[in-house]
Amino acid sequence: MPLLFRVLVTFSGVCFVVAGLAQGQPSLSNMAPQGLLPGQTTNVTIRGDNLTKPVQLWSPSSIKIEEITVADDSKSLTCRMTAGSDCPIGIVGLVAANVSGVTNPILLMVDDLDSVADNTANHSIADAQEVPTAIAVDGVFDGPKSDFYRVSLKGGQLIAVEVVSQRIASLLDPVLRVLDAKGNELMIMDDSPGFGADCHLLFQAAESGDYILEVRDNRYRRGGTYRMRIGDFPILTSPYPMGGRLGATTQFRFTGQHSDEPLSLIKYLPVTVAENQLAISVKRSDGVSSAMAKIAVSELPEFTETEPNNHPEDGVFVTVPCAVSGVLNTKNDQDHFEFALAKGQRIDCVGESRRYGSHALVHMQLIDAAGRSVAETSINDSDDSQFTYTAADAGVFRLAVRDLIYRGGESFAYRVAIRTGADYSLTLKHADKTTVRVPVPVGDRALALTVSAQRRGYAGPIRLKIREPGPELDLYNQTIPAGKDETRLYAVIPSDSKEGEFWPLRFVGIAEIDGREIQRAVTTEATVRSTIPQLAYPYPWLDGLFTVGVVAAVEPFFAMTCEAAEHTIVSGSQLPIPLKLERRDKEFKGAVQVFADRLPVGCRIDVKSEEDVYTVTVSCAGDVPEGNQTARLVVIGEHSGRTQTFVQDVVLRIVRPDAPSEGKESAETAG
Amino acid sequence: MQRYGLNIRYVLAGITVALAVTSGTNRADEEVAGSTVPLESVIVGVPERLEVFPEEFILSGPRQKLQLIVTAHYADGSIQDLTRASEFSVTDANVSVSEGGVIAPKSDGVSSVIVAAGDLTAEARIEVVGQNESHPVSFQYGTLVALSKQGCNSGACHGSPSGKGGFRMSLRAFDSKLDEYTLLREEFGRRTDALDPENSLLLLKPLMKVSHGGGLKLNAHDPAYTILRDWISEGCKTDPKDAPTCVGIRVTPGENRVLIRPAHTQQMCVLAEFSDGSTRDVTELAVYSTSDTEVAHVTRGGLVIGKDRGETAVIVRYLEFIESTILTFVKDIDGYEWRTQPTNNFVDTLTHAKLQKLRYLPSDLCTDEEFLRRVYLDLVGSLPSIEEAEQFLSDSSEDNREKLVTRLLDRPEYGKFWALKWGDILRLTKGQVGEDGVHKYHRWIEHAVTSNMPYDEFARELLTASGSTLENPAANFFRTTKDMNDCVETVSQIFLGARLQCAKCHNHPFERWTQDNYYGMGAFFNRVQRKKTRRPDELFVWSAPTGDVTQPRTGQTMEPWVPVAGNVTELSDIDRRQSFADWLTTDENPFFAKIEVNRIWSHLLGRGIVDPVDDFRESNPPSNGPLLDALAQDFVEHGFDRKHVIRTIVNSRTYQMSHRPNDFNRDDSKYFSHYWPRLLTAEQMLDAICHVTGIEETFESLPTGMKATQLPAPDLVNHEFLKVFGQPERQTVCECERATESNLGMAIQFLNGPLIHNKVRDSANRFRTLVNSGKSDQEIITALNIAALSRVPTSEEMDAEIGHVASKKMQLEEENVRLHEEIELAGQSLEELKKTLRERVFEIRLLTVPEAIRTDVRGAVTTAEEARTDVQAYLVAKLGSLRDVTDEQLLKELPEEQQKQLTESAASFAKLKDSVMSPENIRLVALEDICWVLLNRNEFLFNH
Repeated sequence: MPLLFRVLVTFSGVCFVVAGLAQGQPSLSNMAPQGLLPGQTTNVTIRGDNLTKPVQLWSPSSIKIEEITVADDSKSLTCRMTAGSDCPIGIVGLVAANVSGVTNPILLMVDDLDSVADNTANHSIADAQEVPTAIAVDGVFDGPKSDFYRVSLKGGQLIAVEVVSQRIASLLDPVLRVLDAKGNELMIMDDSPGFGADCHLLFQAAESGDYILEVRDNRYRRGGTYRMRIGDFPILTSPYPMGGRLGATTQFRFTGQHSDEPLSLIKYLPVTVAENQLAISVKRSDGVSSAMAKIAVSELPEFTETEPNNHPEDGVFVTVPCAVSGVLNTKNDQDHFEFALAKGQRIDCVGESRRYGSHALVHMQLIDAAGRSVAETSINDSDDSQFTYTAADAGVFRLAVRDLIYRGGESFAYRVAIRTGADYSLTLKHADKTTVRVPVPVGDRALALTVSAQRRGYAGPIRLKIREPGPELDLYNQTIPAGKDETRLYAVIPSDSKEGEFWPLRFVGIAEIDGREIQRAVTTEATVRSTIPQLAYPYPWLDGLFTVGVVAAVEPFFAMTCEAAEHTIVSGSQLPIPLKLERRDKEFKGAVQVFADRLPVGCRIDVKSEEDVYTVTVSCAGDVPEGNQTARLVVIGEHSGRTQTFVQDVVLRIVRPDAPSEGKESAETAG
Repeated sequence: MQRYGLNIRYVLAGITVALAVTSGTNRADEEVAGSTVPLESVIVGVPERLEVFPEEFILSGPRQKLQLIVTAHYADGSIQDLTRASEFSVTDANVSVSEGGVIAPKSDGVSSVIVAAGDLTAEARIEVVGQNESHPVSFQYGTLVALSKQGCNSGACHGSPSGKGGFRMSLRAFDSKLDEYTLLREEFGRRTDALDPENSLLLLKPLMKVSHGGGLKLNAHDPAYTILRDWISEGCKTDPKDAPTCVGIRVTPGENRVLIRPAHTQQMCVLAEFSDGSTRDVTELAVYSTSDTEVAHVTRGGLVIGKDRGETAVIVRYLEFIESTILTFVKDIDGYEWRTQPTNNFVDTLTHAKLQKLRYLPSDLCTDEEFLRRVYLDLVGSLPSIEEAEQFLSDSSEDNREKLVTRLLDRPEYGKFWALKWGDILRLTKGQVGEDGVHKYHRWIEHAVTSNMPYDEFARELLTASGSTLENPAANFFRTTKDMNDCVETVSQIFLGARLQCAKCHNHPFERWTQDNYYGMGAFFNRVQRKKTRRPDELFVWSAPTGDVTQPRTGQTMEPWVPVAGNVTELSDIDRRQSFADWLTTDENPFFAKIEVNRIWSHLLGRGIVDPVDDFRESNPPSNGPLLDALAQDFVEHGFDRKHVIRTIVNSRTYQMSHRPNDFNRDDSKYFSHYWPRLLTAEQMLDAICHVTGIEETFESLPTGMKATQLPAPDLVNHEFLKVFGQPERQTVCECERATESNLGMAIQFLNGPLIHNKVRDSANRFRTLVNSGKSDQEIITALNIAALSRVPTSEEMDAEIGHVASKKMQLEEENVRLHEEIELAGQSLEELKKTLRERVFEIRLLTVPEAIRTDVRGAVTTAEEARTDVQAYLVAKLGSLRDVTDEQLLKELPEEQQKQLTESAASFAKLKDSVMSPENIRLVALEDICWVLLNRNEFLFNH
């Protein structure tokens, strides 16, 4: 083959692979059934694309997956899945990986209702599919054609019906109607406040007979999936209080509807949790099926409002830091909480409501002892409200909480977390452009992400690490320096990683603030929202998750050459080691970063570059003991979405200044 | 020039006629645009009482004048203006009075003016003061008024935003500060010359003594000329700060007045009241117009001249003060006699009263068939099914119409159809409220209509809507109204029936709405905010606690203001919109209920009592005010129940009148003396075509069975037929966006459009289905007629249509005979062509034979077998097959040109054979014709 042709073929091949790294990844579209019974094994069929063998499946929840069989056309697989018997009712996820990369997460339910499939021929009342009164139907919206289901009810019988659609990442917006057998509309439900586009209703049959449940998309679009749950589960809005303290036992009440029975749940909260939320299941005392709910959990002491606190003079006194929960019981209701702040003390108030199912949109105002408003929620596109305030003088302050548009009712619960002192949070920068589903070619070995710190009174360093339990990977640039707000973090997977390997990663930051080690997770919520916008509040298990799949090697876009593998350095002196950057891909114009591992204690490196020659200067203190030590230079470059590593081990022979002249000469020669 | 009398000129329609005086009466002319027309004489008759207005008046200063109004009261209760037919005399010489009743002061003192008409006299006491005092011309109430009177500051002249010819004034003098600057300081004051006032540009230009783009606008004898000249000569002074200000005007006659011919003119008198308690006559400076120039016109001097019977509002404007009065002109019609009419409810009583007043007679009731079709189209938007029509028409009970109305109002289609009307007004489109929002908002409207949500609640829900536009779809009202200006204009047009757009920049030139009013109303809506949320396509509407409106011209912070009540001081702490909604829906609001009943009336009768329905103004009075008032009152008393209003109207004889006029209402188009036929709307038309043909229309991704009248928004589907027939894009809140006039595109659609063509040809359409089920022609024609016209065909129609089937059959059979002949001929010529072409192929094949023997072969194969020589027999045996050319080989072996010729000939032949119709097809073609004709009948195209 002529040389020119070979080069072109190689080059175009590289380009193809690079461009295709993300595009050629496997994907998942749907599964059947979409629900798993806790404690039982379910045979599941999952459909997708590029599911070439072998495929591994991973779930961030406690779901056991076994006997994966991939279809020959690589468009589906079957497996057996078992959700833990203690698994709460709720939405969980599943990710697949193979040699082509990692799939998008697919969402499914752990459900205490049996599943049945939409028979796809139920597009009229006459053809309505008969279903029992305790079932979950996995269906697909058929555009302008509604799906009809027939249930047989006794006079006075109550059934709860819930359509889970956008909560399992379906793009569609369900509309649910209850009709009598003749097709007359008895109830219609579109968006249930607090549930986004999904809807639920409680229906009581006036008389015994057949009733029709009609489901369709609000816009008559086709193709989205839904799971319609029919049962005796309670229709819930939000828990009250909305949160609990780690390690405490808390009684939660639930607003919503299901007969007159007050619904409550006493919950022992664990001492530690992976995320700041807990999924919980709630059922009536004599109920069979459960509703899903979630509560906030944190280290903060929790307070609830004590009525009356509607007037400034009735403010409930609390000590901060804490979290307060309340309900805006009536229209125009305003709740007041009082607390003392020292001069210069800083508070961060975050009010949450909608994300826990409440109908409220919280607005907060902080008022000082003189009755002046000193801080107020800034109204922006966020559903949560927040403000920060540093007390100019010591005193008692009053927090006034209301709904933004003065609504009220038992479904208007809220929780405000009031934190004191310095703090920070971490987010993935350029979230809308940065993928969290990363294919890493075997040779490249690395992924890169920029982590931003939102500092709230803390200016010190923040060290990043992989959250436990998690793999031990080498991280570089893992500290956001004091006074800085971001770092470009590199995570390097082991050199012996094989194609098809899968690494779920989460990152946390650690900082020492006021003598305490404060750990905060890196959130990827914005990225998740940009890829699954219909998921208004990404599940905690999804937020911060990076799924890394090791894929086939591609041509490296750079290499480094080091003239000598062994170097002698006199302690107390410096040793320059030149590395030459070789650009394999002509389009690669950027610089590389050089890091050193395993340096002898007392030594450090400085790197300078001139054109494509990187001079790594090793400096060792005078007290560094003699001996040979193998240090590792790790060079990382980024190009076209890839992050490639180059590793060069160098043997450092450290000699004392008074060592024999041979060593000195060698050291000088080496320099 | 005298204002009244023999030498005064009148102008009407550009005709100049000499003046004349009739014994005992007065003739007067008035000048308009340089032409004159005569006035008919006033026949004084024998009045019982003579009334003069004002009976007392003080003329203060030398510039003051007074227009007297003389009214005669007759024994039959009628009245007549005798101002121009009266004789005036004075008891003292300190005043003079002109022939037209205009009093001018001479010296201080008191005088009586004696008015004589017929055998009666009346007297007015006039006091003259201040004749020796200085009374400089007021800038505001003299100069600017004079310029307004002459139209200098109108929108078409110097009052346009950029002025004209480098001279810009505020529109109708609404901004006196600007005018002061323009007249006194701009261009170094060169427009006026105090030393030589008559040579001021301000006078020379409108006098056309210097070139003036606007032409002649002023005459030296105009009162305005004197004012402007005097103002200039006095040094172009502005008013002192403590000068009295005008607080209002009074127009006489102020009450509605009915003038029965021969009474047909009415002089107006306009008195301006000032803050110091004084009153001045501004009749000659006020500006006049009428709402209906077909009924009457008004002269520059305030003389209203009736032209035809009817009602008109006379609008009087003096600076920003606008008043109006209604005049009714009546004349007797030959042969007219009012007959007592039966009534179904108060609608009929009040309609009849108006008709009787104006000498109209109502038409008879429409037939049951017409009512059936009309009420279906008006209440549910579509035609009745054949079964429904048959059921209704077979119901001979007296209350069959009422029962039908009740049934229709309870049907779900009612809500869907009227949601379409509200969708138009509320600008419900995908583009405005998002793809998710459009369906939810539409469902909300539909639910509101279907559940008969009281109208006050409906308005309140919309105007105070907050929160998520997806969870609370009414909040989309504030998604379509994007800012304060949009809110003011939309709310005023929908709920107050006022088009306020122009008041954004200046006082309304023709109405009472001022710029202050605009921004005062804006203060209710300025705090409405919109924010995004985490949910895609969701907007959250909320009201901020602060946010005042600043009047852009004055810089003043505006208090929330509403019509009639003025500034609102008791405001909701939370959301000012609540206060606005409180006022809007209160019983005291004179607009709210009227606007909606008028809108409903317009939807049902094709024309509003006020028309256009969203244009309530002094200069556009209701055609039947008492009816509108009664409907509104009834609406309020019934808790703003829209179904009640619809039921009331539809159950009235007024609604149920025939569209056929009688001899005494033929020229009425305003007073509802007969039903006014109107073209079906685009959506009704499409649904009706689908109904008649039995072929449903499917709209892209929307469910099968959804009718055009049930579409949530026009931009969800792109349907050419709907566009052609005037489906609005919903870009404005004006119902006028829906085209109601027919156009060429519509005609083309019916003549040759694909929609009708395809439905009429569809193999599953109504008549084909009936044919397949074995129905007779008569049965099918009956079904088609009921479907299209809601009635069985008349015997003449049935005969004609059956006759058409027969004649079509005959015609097509004859055509078939002709076709068979043509086919035979065509077949022959095709065979001829093939024969020729076979020869051609043979010749081509011969080319493969050595040239030397081609002639021999040609000869051999054409020689009879028995006559062949041995050589020829040999050649035929070897090469004779060259002549065996099949049709397929022809096409393969011929040159392209001949191939084409053959293909085309064969295709024509095949087509000709196909055009022969089977007897069944002949029947279907005839029925297609009948169906098409029915769809093209006016009776189908119009709601009548």
